[in-house]
Amino acid sequence: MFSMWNGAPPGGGRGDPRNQRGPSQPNPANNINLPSGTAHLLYELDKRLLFWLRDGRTFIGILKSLDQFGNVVVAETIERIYVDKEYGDIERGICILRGENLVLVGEWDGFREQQSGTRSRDIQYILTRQAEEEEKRLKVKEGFQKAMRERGLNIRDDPEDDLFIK
Amino acid sequence: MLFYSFFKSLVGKEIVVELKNDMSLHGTLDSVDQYLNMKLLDIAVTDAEKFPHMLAVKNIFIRGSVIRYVHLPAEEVDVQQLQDASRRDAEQAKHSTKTGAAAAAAAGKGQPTKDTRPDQSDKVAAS
Repeated sequence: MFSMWNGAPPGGGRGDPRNQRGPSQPNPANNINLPSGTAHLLYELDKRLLFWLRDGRTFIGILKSLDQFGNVVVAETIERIYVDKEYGDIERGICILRGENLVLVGEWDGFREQQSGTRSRDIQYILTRQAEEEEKRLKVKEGFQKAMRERGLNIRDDPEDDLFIK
Repeated sequence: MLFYSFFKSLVGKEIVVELKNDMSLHGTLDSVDQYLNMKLLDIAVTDAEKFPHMLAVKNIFIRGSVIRYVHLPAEEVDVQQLQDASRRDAEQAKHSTKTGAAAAAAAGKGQPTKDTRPDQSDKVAAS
């Protein structure tokens, strides 16, 4: 049994005092003694972060929990789909992301976002645009593979089948 | 652990990290851990047009397993020192396996006992 539960039911609803930690209360990370210069995400708890996954997807949400494998729990998550400099959002609620799928975690900077020149569009529009772009990309890829086959090179092992798609 | 120590000595320096998805990031190394996960401050992405979602972030945490290359500032790297350190490491590893094997052999030759608990002597020697 997990000793931290002290035999109490593992609660978790809104009424649970463990879920009430606001910004005014000290971050438990302050009690963990790590040598300075050690990379970890503990100080990023309760901050809005961008999570970039290995399949190219982008999630933005508030980091609520993490473990030594880099698995994370993210609250108020949105999945943001970019097509060039336009983006659409899909609400995803609370997510657990498995650590191995993360590429990087970035501190979300609202000011930088405003300066970046990206703009929000309707999600349906973005999804259509994304499908178009994907079709275009596949066409180019097929053309390339066909050309290679005609020259006697059959690329069976497509690098896109690897862990990274984009 | 050698490269972990090495990267720790580069904290505060500007580096370029190239990821396995062909993105390169330029930033100041803030921290690094045993998996060579890295935190970079004030990043800039080479070819930012291709990665619009990186425009809104300044400080990032990169998972070590997705890093392909790290470009280092040449003047900060003491190759001689690295070489010496890796030799020392190799020497130590050789030494510890030798003594570990010797201890294990000695333990094997000793009086057979009824005690079936695993013998700890080789572990002590190895550490």
